[in-house]
Amino acid sequence: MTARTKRLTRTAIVVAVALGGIVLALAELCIGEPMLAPLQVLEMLRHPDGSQAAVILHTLRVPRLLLAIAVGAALAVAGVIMQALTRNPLAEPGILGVNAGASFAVTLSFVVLGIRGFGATLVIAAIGAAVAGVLVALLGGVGRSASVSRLILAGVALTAVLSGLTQALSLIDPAQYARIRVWEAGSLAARDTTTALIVAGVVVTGLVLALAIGPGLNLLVLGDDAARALGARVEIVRAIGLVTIVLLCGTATAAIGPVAFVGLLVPHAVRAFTGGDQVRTLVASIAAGPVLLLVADLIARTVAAPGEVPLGVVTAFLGAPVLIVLVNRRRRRS
Amino acid sequence: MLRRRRAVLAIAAAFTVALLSGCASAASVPPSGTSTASTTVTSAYGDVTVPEKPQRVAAVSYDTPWQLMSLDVKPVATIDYSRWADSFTTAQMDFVADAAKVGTFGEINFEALTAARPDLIIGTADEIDEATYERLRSIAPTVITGGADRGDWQSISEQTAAATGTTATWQAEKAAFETLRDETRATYRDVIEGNRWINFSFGDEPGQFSVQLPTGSTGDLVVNEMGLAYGPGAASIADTDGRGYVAFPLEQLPTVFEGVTVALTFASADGTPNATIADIMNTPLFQTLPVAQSGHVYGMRSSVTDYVTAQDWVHELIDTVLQPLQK
Repeated sequence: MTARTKRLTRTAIVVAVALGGIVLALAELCIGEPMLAPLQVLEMLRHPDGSQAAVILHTLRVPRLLLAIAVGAALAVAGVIMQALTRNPLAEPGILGVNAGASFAVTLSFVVLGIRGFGATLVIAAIGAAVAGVLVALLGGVGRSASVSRLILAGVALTAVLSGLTQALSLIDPAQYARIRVWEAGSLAARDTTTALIVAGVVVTGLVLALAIGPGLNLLVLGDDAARALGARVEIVRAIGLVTIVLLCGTATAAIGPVAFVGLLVPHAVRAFTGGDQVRTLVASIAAGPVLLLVADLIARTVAAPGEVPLGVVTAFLGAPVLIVLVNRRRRRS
Repeated sequence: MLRRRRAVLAIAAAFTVALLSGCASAASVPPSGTSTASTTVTSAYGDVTVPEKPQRVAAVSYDTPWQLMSLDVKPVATIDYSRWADSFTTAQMDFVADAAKVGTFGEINFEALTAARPDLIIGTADEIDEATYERLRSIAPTVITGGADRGDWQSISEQTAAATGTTATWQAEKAAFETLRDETRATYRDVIEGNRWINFSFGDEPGQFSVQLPTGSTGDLVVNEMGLAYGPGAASIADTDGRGYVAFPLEQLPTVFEGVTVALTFASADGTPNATIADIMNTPLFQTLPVAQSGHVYGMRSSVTDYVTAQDWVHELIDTVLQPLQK
């Protein structure tokens, strides 16, 4: 394949993903009860007429779409950074204990503190994710003593401990068990516009940080010594990377619950087209993450209508086979 | 030295034998005051021979203590209700305060249940499967009640009465309820027939609401007993899962509430609004519903498990809904 053909192929893929994203976004706004026509949606977005359809669109479907885009991008980009920092293509953001920290904090708030408001749950989950991320960073070593294997081990250990505590707490209180189970299954439903905008704001901050360290990540994947020799400030890139993962993954988990596979699958999938360049992979993941989450949410909303299948279940069902295909294809190539 | 060791072993053996004998006698000797006369009753898992006048009744399902309460039968053991205390009245919580706690909802502590030495165990078929029933009946005669559907509280309370020898009490309460029901339907005929009703609650997860169907206990009372006809959107809903309710995403509120002019829902036992239901009612979409704009959404404290609680519910319906709407 010539360089020109490669460039054309990449451009075609970018255009296809962009168009697919727009179509999926429109479908997210149109599909449901009531079913709305695309032109009707566009008209109601511009001129809300106070009808029940307009209220459904503005208070239920638009926040859902915003969250799907923000969370999809956040999880995908957090996955890219995690895989670059650990130089491990099977790493996903949950390795840092962020999901487990958020789940534990939410369970604690349900069972011990009796908190039930969604806004409070969001804040508590974010705090839990951040505390877990910081703990793993401290246990894994900071500064020059940091090592990738220590970081992963610390994350796995803390995840195991927090998961055990979460299980124990949820079993103590059967009245809260169903709520915890539902939260852990992940959902984009019942989040208001304010929440979606706050989440989107935090995610945009995280994405800017991620793009800023993109060139540094390109050097970091060569190994610490090589990166230093090429002028990279390894400790700073790694620290910003960890903070960004906690920010992105913590916010995403706090907003919709722990959703598996997005952070693992999307970087794998886009790397097949972007190659090893981290900046390109980051940019492509920002587009591909929302596409995956929108597809998953549309399936979740329609496959068992009028009920909904938990989002985490759909991403796992979509993600696992696709990941196996990608890994197999890569193995055959190599 | 050897003699001393033998003496210690002998004492230990004697102590063990005494302890085992004590355990055995505790499990096998019937509690004092237990009548030896027995009778056979029908249950969901076949006919069961039970004491004619059981003295130590264990209630192992969620609604069973309240059905016993309506029959003046105080249980010696129940599941732990402390986590749900807000859902029950002070009288209900006082009623089960002295009962031994033998597990929690969906998780029976068989050891604690055995220690409570029941002479009759009662539960409901929607919570007790046959495997659990087999374990329960190895402890004491066990009656598992069940009706035509999950919300058939009439049949369930009747079977509970038969098992506890309190059918006369049950018949009296049934008659009192039927009199109250018929009087209420006659007195408030215009309000009842002039409106389209719905009984809703929260759903299985955030972003959902549910409709109580006639196959559930409250839905049965609302629709079948009181004749409060649902609006066309809710009346066509089928109970496909047999749970007594169906949950929907919030965006289906307008469809399901179509034509509804009065909506009933649940409130806490102290009358304060149920917080999760309040979240639904505060959504902009719920506020667009005609029933919300007319202010005809009523939270009901009473929950229905038997003819006594059904009478409480009807009295509350009269005071809270029917009388104000008739004015």
